[in-house]
Amino acid sequence: MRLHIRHETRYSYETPVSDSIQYIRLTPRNTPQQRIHDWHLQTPGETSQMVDGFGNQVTVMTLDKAVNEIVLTAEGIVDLTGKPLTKDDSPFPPAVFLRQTPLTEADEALKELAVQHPANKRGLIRLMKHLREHVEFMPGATTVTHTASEAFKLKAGVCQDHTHMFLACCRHIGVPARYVSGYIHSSNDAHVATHAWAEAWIGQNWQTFDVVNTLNVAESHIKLAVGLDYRDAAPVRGVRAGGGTESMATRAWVTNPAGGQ
Amino acid sequence: MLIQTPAEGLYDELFDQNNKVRPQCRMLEQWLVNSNEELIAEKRREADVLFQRLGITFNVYGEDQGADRLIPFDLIPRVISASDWHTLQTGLRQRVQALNRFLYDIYHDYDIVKAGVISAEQVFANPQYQPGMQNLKLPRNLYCHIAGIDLIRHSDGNFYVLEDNLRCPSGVSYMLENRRMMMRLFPELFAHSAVAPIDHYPNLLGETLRAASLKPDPTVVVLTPGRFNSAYFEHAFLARQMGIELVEGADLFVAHNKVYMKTTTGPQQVDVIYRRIDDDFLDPLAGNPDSMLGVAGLYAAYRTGNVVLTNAVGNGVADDKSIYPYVPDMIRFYLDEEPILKNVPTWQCRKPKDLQYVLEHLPELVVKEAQGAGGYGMLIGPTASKKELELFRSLLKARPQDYIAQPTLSLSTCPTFVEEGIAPRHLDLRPFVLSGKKVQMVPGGLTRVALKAGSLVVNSSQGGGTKDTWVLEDDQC
Repeated sequence: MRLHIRHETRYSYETPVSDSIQYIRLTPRNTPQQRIHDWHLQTPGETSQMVDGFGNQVTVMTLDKAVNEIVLTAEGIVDLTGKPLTKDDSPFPPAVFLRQTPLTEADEALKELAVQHPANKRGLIRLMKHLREHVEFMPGATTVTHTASEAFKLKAGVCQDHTHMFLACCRHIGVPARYVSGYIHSSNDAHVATHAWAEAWIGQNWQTFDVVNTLNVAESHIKLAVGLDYRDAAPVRGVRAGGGTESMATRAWVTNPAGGQ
Repeated sequence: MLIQTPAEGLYDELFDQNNKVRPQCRMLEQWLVNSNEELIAEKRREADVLFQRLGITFNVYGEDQGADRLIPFDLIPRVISASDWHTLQTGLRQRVQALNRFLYDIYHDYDIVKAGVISAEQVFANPQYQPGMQNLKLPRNLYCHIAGIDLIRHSDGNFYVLEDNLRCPSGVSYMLENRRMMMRLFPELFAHSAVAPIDHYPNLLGETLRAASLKPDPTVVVLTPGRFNSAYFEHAFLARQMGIELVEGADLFVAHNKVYMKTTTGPQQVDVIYRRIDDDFLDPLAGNPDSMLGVAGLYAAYRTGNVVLTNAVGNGVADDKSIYPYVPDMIRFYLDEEPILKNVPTWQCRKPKDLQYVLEHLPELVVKEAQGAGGYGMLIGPTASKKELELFRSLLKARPQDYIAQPTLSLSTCPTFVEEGIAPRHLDLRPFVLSGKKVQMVPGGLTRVALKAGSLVVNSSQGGGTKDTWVLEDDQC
């Protein structure tokens, strides 16, 4: 399936921002599951590149003139091959993804839930379904600083929270599990959205667990970055001087250049 | 003055087991015996005033007052024979080389894990392992440029490594100031003994830091968290001694993946940062997002090879107490040599058999947190109350992987000025090992002494003091 993606992130500030620097993870890598064609990232500042320890492509943008708005546009064409995830593609052993982070640390409630599920594919699918039923998908209920345990208590959150909760449980029962940020294409309404899901290491393979969509396959997922949690894989992390209150709006479009949707 | 003789069954640095003065300490003992109490008392007061004036003070974490406190300085030096130092130096060099090889290995091809010497989980699931360091090429493959290795001398007369400090080891400023103090107060002592000099340490450190970069004339700075840090004095002291800038995060910025220092004549590129800030606080965009201490963009500059951090990020995975038991195996694996310095036997409570042994022998053992530092989360079995033993029993059962246990070692003693006169007190030794083009160190290190009778905790945060450390150039004198 060939997809044309356009993703715009717009930061607006109350007062001008004088200085800012951002780590931007909005460039997908070629993998057996996705082939990238003509990918462009437009930013208003000066950019340089780095590859982080997880192998993610990171654009470092610095801006030293005063602005009221920062717009980042990622655009390109991606072929999804439909191949399943197979061998380990990390620069280090999966054991790295056993460790909890401040965002995934499991409290007693999550631990209690985790240990009811065997560390195999069927167990994790049950865990995923339980989390999706128990925790409502509710944009605005949480922010990027909410932890897995907090979202579980709130019984509400967005894809990132569902993913953190799933990671917390997997790691608690000794299953390496990693955070993935990217896009998802839903074929019925030609809609693409920024998304987050998990991958767990079971049976010597990585397996997709998209908790919000209760999917165990990644046929319509475009991977941007992986990490231990949101902080490692966030599409944008930045600091700025000035600006007052920030508001952020993000929009994404997809078209299928071949016609049909 | 009268010198109280040491307790039986312990190694004393001054007296041998027959209470005879060790040959390398004869001169020192004569001086002590011939000194009168009033003169010594006066010198001690003088030392206090000088230290106060120099500003060598120390913030103690966990104390509400937050006030600067003087680390007690003891006037009686600790003497190490030339032959003992020779062994120590060779062993330290070997150990630090192996630790650097280990860090390079686990952040690249992790051969030691593939060879089955240590499990992937122990290395990679360790919270001190930094994924962000994976496959980063560092000049000379060096990770630990400045190491502080804590040693103790056991009753068998051998030195044992208690702990490796490969992150931001502190204390070297006390080592240097203690020597300056002794030379000022007792110049006659140095006239009669061949004590190996240590005052070239700042030169060696500067040389090591410059060698951390492959540039011919790199710009080096010391990065401090600021004056509220407990070791701020040391950061300022070392920068001044080396004649380089002392900076805080706000003095630096990153552009085009390069680090610049703001100066009155404009931005100046920085090539090497001797950072005394913890890994997680170095860059708010890579670590703790709330950190105000670091520099936004620093990780990108580091990752793209435009700046060198000393020590490297992620060294904690090699000096963690859960990795410590594997250091002798590292020496065999990387260097194909037998370890010269001994490790203290260690039970890893993560292993069920070890845990069982520890629970059965708790009153004889020392239990430490695998991640701890500073002597806070620690149980010393023989001196612990029933309540403390019970607390640790439940901690061990709840989170065995967080603890290790070791036999209670009889740290050696050395005569020390205390209220009742001159009495033996327990001590350790922290030599500072510098790795650049070669591995270098000045003779000796920082000697820390537990000032309470019988106490084995020498940490300055727990009421320990320091002594000057004399390595003799020649044992004949």
